Amino acid sequence: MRLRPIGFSSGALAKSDYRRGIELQQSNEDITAIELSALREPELKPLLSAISQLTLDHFQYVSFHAPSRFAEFDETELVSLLNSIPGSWPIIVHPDLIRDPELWAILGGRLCLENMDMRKRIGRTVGEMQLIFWQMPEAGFCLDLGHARQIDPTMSIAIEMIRIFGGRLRQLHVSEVGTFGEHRSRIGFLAQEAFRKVARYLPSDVPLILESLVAEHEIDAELGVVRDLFAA
Amino acid sequence: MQEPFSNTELLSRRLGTEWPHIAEARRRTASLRAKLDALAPLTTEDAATILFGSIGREEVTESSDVDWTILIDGPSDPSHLQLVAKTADRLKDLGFKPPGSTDTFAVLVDSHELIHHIAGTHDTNQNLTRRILLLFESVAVTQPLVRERVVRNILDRYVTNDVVVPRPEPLNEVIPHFLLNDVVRYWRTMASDYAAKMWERETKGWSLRNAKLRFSRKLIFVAGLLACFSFELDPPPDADDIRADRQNLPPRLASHALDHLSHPPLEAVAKTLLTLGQDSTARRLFSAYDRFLHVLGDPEQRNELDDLAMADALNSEVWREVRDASHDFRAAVEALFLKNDSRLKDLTLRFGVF
Repeated sequence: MRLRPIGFSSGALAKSDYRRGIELQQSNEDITAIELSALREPELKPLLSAISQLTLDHFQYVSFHAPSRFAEFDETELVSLLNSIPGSWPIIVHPDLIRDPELWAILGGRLCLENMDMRKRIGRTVGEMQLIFWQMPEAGFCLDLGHARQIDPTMSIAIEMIRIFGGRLRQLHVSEVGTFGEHRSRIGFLAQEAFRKVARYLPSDVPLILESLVAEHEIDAELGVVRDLFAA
Repeated sequence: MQEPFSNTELLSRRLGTEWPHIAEARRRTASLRAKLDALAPLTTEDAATILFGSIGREEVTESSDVDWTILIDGPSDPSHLQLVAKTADRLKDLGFKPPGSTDTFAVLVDSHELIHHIAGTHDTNQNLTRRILLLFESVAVTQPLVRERVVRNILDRYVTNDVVVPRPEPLNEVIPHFLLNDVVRYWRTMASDYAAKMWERETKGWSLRNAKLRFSRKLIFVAGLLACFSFELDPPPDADDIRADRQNLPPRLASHALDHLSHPPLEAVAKTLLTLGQDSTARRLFSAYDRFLHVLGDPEQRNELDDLAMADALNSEVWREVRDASHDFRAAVEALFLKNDSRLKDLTLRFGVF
């Protein structure tokens, strides 16, 4: 049986230090996926310029998380920078970042839009995501389970999102998100039970990207929990 | 872009008739909602300002008051009480009358009781009322997703706790029995509470309360039953797959019910009547309701109802009009559920009576 790719966001393991985030994972045989994170705008250019020198052969699946805000670049520059990312990597983008959808069309199916948490004003529900995909029909989908659970602990929104946007689904974000939108260190019991409800609806090959803010010694334990939750 | 027609408008066009007082009440509701945007600055995380009653049903008339609560779904914070006080002040500044004196409205409501105390010894009339009204006649003017989260949690309680006996697969009928029982319980509770208030208040305000029982409270019951039967009356395209997959059933049934609950009660009834094609019943039901809203919307008639002594009722033209209209409404409801040969009649007899 083929195991679904699984790994951490580099930023979850080492905030603003992608090299450390990669290093902590590439020696781990159980980790087969990684998301390179440039969640903060100043992290973007250094990470982009380092991509060609990074050794990522260890990973079956690599994705890239775009900044969640931009001020230094304008939107055209940002899209142009993201367009330099290797073509096979999905580019995870928060939909509230997008002001002019036409500019982003150049990324085609590499653009992968993530559902949002309560703090945002768009992208939180099925209806809000439908509006966004209507504007960007080629875009893929990153289902953030922690965000979906914050909006709806029963997980019926997450299940509905998989049912409706399943054809676009590229990857999952998995972590426990707190009341105020913060990612927590470990996935607690209730979040595990909620995520378990969703597992049966997922295609068996969709990669899992963990965003739990774990310390180095907790990596294997957290991986084990998530792998068990989503075991086919 | 022009707004799509509502179900009520579609029904009215199909029947070639108009219900001017229902239409006027919708316009007034929209205008009132716009006024209530003044509450938007009172937004905070995990707390929603919920409006019930005529606003939730889109039946606002000139004399409508505003029934509201602050619904908390998150960590407790002593300053939530300030939110209640500020909301009350803001509504007073906007010229709204305070809600009635039952402590059901204009207070903080914690989602915990609504979600965890469904039936059982901790449930109360007040909790049941808040829960059912939250489901069937409420809107959030701040933080609508907080309201939706609580509603989804309540529906989850109703549908995931509904496995009371082993049943064969696939299910012949998908009915949320637990919710259905609470909808029936709510209606009977309202009727019993009417009698209790008559006793406590020495019949003061009886006729307006009675008129609301005959129309708006009964309408919630009707809309509640239709919501419980909605999976059977208006099944989703993959209904057979859902019936066959017991694990998948609760979230899909909850989502289906939620779609149904997104319509105000009259709209939900209009949707069913459009689907079932019962035109004479539709005409009778909506015309009766229109007459009711006409009385409520006319200050003179409403005042007469408000002050009417029981002994004078049979000499009051206003009261006779309300009573006659209510008999028409009742007859139409009976025809909808029981007299026409339809799936709804089968479901009502099987699940709604015994």
